[in-house]
Amino acid sequence: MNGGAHKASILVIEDDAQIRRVLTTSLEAYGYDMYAAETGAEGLAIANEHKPDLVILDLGLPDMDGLDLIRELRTRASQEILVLSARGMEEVKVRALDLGADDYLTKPFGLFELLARVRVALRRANRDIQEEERLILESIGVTIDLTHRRITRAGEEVHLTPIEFRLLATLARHGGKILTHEQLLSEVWGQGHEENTQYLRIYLGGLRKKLEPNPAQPKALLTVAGVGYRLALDTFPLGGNTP
Amino acid sequence: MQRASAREMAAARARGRLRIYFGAAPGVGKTRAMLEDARKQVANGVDVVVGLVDTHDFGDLNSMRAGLESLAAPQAMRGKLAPVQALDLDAALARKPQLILVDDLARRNPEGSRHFQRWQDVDELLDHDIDVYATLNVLNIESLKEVVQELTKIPFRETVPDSFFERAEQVTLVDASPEDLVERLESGSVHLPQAQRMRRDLFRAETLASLRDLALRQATEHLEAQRAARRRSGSSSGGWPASKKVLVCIDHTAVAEKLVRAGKRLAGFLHADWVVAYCETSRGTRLNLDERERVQTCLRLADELGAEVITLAGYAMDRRIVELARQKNVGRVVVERPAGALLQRWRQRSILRTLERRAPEVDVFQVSGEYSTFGAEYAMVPSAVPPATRTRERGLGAAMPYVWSVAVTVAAMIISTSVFRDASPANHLIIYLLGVLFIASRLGFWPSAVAATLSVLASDYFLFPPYFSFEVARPQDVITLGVFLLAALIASRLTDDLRFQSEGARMREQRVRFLYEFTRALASVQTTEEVAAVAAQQISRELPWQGRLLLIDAGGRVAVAGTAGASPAVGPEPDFDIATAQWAFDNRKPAGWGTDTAADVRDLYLPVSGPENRFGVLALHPTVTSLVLLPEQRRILDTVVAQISQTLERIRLASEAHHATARVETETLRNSLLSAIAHDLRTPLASIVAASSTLLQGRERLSREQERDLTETILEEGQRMTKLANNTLEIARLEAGAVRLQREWYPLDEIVGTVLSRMEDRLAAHRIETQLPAGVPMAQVDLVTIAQVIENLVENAVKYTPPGTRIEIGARDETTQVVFWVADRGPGIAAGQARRIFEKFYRGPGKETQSGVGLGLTICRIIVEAHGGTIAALNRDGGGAEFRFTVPATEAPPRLEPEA
Repeated sequence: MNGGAHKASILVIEDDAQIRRVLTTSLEAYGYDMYAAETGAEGLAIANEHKPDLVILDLGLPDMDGLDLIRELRTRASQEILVLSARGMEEVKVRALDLGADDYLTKPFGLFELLARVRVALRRANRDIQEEERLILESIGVTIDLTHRRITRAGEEVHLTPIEFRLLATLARHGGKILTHEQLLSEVWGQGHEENTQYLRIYLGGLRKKLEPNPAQPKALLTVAGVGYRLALDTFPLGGNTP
Repeated sequence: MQRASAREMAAARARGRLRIYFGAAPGVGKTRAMLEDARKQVANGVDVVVGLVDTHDFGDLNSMRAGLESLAAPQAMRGKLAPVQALDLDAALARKPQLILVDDLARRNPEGSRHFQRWQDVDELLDHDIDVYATLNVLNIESLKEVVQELTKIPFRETVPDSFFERAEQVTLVDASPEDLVERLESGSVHLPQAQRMRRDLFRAETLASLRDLALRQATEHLEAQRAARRRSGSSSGGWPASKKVLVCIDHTAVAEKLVRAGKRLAGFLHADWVVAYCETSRGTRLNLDERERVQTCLRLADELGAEVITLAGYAMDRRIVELARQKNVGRVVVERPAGALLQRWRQRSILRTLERRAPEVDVFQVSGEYSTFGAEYAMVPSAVPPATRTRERGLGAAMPYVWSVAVTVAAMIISTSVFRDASPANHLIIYLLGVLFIASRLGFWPSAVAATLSVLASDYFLFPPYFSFEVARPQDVITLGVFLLAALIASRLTDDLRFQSEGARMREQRVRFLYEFTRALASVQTTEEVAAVAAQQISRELPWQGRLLLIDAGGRVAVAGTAGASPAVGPEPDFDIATAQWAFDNRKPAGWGTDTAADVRDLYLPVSGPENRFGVLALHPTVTSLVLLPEQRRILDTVVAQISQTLERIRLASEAHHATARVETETLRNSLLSAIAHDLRTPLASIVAASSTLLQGRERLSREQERDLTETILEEGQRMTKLANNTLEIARLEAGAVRLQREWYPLDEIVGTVLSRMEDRLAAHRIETQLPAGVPMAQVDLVTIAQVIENLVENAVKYTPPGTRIEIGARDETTQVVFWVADRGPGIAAGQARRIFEKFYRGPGKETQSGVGLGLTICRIIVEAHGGTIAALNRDGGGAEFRFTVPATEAPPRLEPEA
C-alpha cells in the first residue's frame, strides 16, 4: 500500500505509556514496523540503530527539549519527522517546522487523521518531487508543470506572475508539507525578507483568486493560522494522484 | 468637647495608672515614701523597675533603691551646667514593667531628648499601659507658678501642667512640718538643686508653711475633683448642675499668660469648664515673631490647662466677645484691667462697657496687667523656636515703613510746592493729607503718624509766615496746623482700621476658600496615592508650608515612599525627620516645631488617624517662617488633617466594600465553575466507562452494530471532554493575559477561508454561503484567535441547526472597523438570552444533551473584546440566529506595491 517492497518502519518517541501503546498497536495493525521509545535519549539510540522511515515525536519529553531532539535527528538522517503537540502552541509548532520537522499533529487526534499524515509523510520520503514533471491538484482541477512553468486550470492556461509561480512551485515541491512564513519567504524572496509576511499574504491571496473556485472556501491553498501555508496535494480519501 | 473625647480614647486603649507622691518642698520625704511603697509592691509580686530615682547619695535611700531592679544606668547627657539625667524612655518601653518609678516629674530633659520635660516621658509610659509612681513638688504645678513666685521670690521654670496632675489616679500627700524641714536642711539631709538661693528664700519657716498650705489644698482639690467625676459618671441625670463657663479674653500682650492662669484658678474653684478666646486685634496680622510665639505658647498653655481655645478675629471685638459669651453659656469673664497706651485702654474700656450693657448677667473679673520682673523674665515656657529665626523681623526691615513715610512726605512737599505755587495753604495741606493717608493705607498707623508730624513741620516751614522757619506768627495758623494734625491722625487711624478689616476679611476669605477647595479636591480622589498628591499640592500652594503625606507601610513604619505622586510643581523634597514622624504616628500626637516633642526639629509632624485606623503622618516644612506660628495656622492644619483622615477612611471603607464584593463574586464564580465542570466531566466519563466495560465484558452478546454504537459513544464523549478541557484552558489563558495578540493585516477571504478549510468535514451536512465584498479588503486581527471566534460561531450554528439548512458567513469593511457575521436558520435565540449566552457556563435552555459547557461564546467575547471590538447575538427576520462581531482598525491598512 505504501508503494515500497519493504515494510515501512516507524519510531514513536512518547513518554506517556497509554498514548505510546495506542500508537504502536494501531499502526502495527496497519502493517508498519514499530519501534517505541520513552525518552529522547532512547529514541536517538533507536533512530541511529534502525534508521526508521518516520519518527513520531512528542515535544513534551521528560529528559530533553523536543526541539533539540529534532535538531539532533536532522543531523543524522533524512527520515520524516511528525511532531505531536498540544493545542494552542503555534509558536512551538513554527519552531519545530523551521528546525526541520515535516508535519505536526495536534493532540488529541483520531486514528484516521494519524494514518493519513503517516501515509503522506512516507510517500514524501519515497519520492523526490524536484524531479516530478507535473503535479495535479485534483480538488481544484489544477495542473502544475514545474519544468515548463505552466499552470492549467480545467484545461486552460492560467497566467501567473513570476513570484506567484515561485510561491506555488515552492509549496508544490514540498509535497503538501506545511511551510512556515519564514521558510516560504526565504525560499521565494531570498534571504533577508523573512519579516515581510504581508507580501506573502497578498501574493497568496492573488494565487487563490486565480486558482481556487471560491477563495473564501479554499480547497488547495490552505492557511494554517499562526503557522504558515500548505498546498493540499492529497485529499481524503487518498487516491493515486501521481501520473 | 474634643479634649474629652481624646481622653476617652486614651482610656479605651488601656492606660497605665499614675500615683504622684506630692509634697510642699524638697526634703519632705517623697522619694523615700515612693521607694517604700515600691518595695511593698515587689513583695506582692509586682514587676517593678526603677526608671530614674536620684538618691543624691543619701545612704538609706541608696540601699532602698539597691533592692529594686533599675534600668541600665541612665547616661549623663550633655547639659548646660551639670550633667542632666534623663529617663531612658526607649529602654523603659522595651523593658515594659508593670510599674516604674520616676523621680521629680517637673525636671527638664537634656537638649536633644524626645520630650522637653520628664512628665511627658511619663505620659508616654502611661500611654503604653505602664503604671508609674512619681514625685512632684507643689512648687512645680503650672497654675500655681505665679503664686509660688510671689511667695518664694524664686522663678520656677520647670512646671507640670494641671491637666496632667489631674489625671493622676492617686495623689499621696507626703507631709512634714516646716520646723522638721528646716531642721533636716540644716543637718544636710536634704538635697537642693540650687542650694544657696533656695536655702535662703525657700526654707524660711513662714514660706514653708504657706507652701504646705498650698500643697494640702491642691491635694484636697484633686480628691474633690475625683469625687465629682465619679458622681458625674455614676448618674448622668443626678444633680450636679453644670456651672456656667469661665471665659478668658487675651490678646498678644505679655499679660495674657497671667490671665490664663487666673482663669484656670477661677474655673478650678468653680468646678467649671473654661474657654480662652484669643482676640486678634488690628495689630494681630503684623505681630512680630516674638509676639506670635507668645500667643502661640499662651494658647498651648491654655490647652494644657484644660481650656477650650477659640480665636476671635475681625472688627467690633466687644460685640464678638458678648456673642461668644452667650453662645458658650459663660457666667464669668476674665479680662485685663484697662492699662497701657491711650488707645489700648480705650478699646479695653469699650469691651467692659459693652459687657456691662449687653450682658449684665455676666460677672467680669479684671486682672491687673502689672506683673513682677520675675514674671516678665520667666513668664514663658522656654521657646520651642530655634533662635536663628527670631531676629528676622528686626533691623532694617522694621525701619523700612518709616523710611517710606519720610519719602512720601518729601514727595508731597515737592508736588505741593510745584503745583500750587500761589494757592492758599489749605490746598497744600490737602496734598500732605493725601500722602499721610497713602502711608496709613499701606503701612499702618505709626508710620502714618510720623508722616503726619513731618507734614505739619514741613508745611509750617514752607507755607506759614514767617516762611522758612518753624515759628508760627499768627495764632489761627497754630489752630490750622493743630486741626490738620488731629484730622490726619484720626484719618490715619480709621484708614488703618479699614485696612486691617479688609486684610482680615481677605485672610478669612482665603482660609475658607482654601479649606473649601481642599475639601472639594479630596472629595473626588479614589486612591491613597491621590490623597497624598492632592495634600502635597494644595498645602504647598496655599499655605506657608511644604506638606507631604507620609503613609505607613505594612509593618506600621512611616515610609517616605508614600510620598509618591508629588509632582515637580510642589518643589523639591524636604529632608524630613523620619524618626520624629514615626514618633508622632506611634503616639498619635503632633511632634516637631512648636510642639512639646522634638521641638528642635524644624518641621512639624501631625498624625493622621481615623476613629479606628491610623494612616500616616502629615509632614510639614515651613516655607514662610514669619507666618507659620500664627495660631490660626495650626487650626487650619488641624482641619486639613481631619479632612485627610476622613478621606482616607472613606477610601479604606470603599476598598473594603469593593474587596468584599469581589470576593463574593469570585467565590460564586468558582463555585459555578466547579459544579459545571464536575457535571460536564462526570457525564461523558459515565458513558465512556459504561460503554467500554460493556465492550470488554459482553462482546459476544453484542451485534456488530451495537458494538459500533458503543465505540462511537466512547469517541464522541472523549471528544466532548477534550473540547471542555480545551475551552476551560483557553479561558484561563485568555483571562490570565497569557495570550498575546499579534495583530496583522489579513485579507477578509483569507480569515474566513482559514476557518472554513479546516472545518470542511464538520460542515459537510450544511450549506455554507460566504458573503464577502469584492476587492481585497483587509482586517487587522490576530488570525489564530479570530479564526477561533469564527470557528466557535460556525460550530455553534452547526450544533443548533438541523442538517441541510444554510449557514451564512460574511464580513464587511466599514473603514474604521470590520464587521463579521455568522447567521443560521435555526431556532434562534430565546427571548432575553441574547446577552446571557456570552456569560460563562450558559447553555441554551433545554439543550442538556448537547455537548460542551457554554464556554465557546465566552471565549469569543473575551477575544473580540481583547481586539477592542464588540460581539452581539440577535434573531434574524424570517427565523434563525445571527452573531455579529466587530474588529476596529487601529491604523490604516498597508499599501503594497504591485509586482513589477
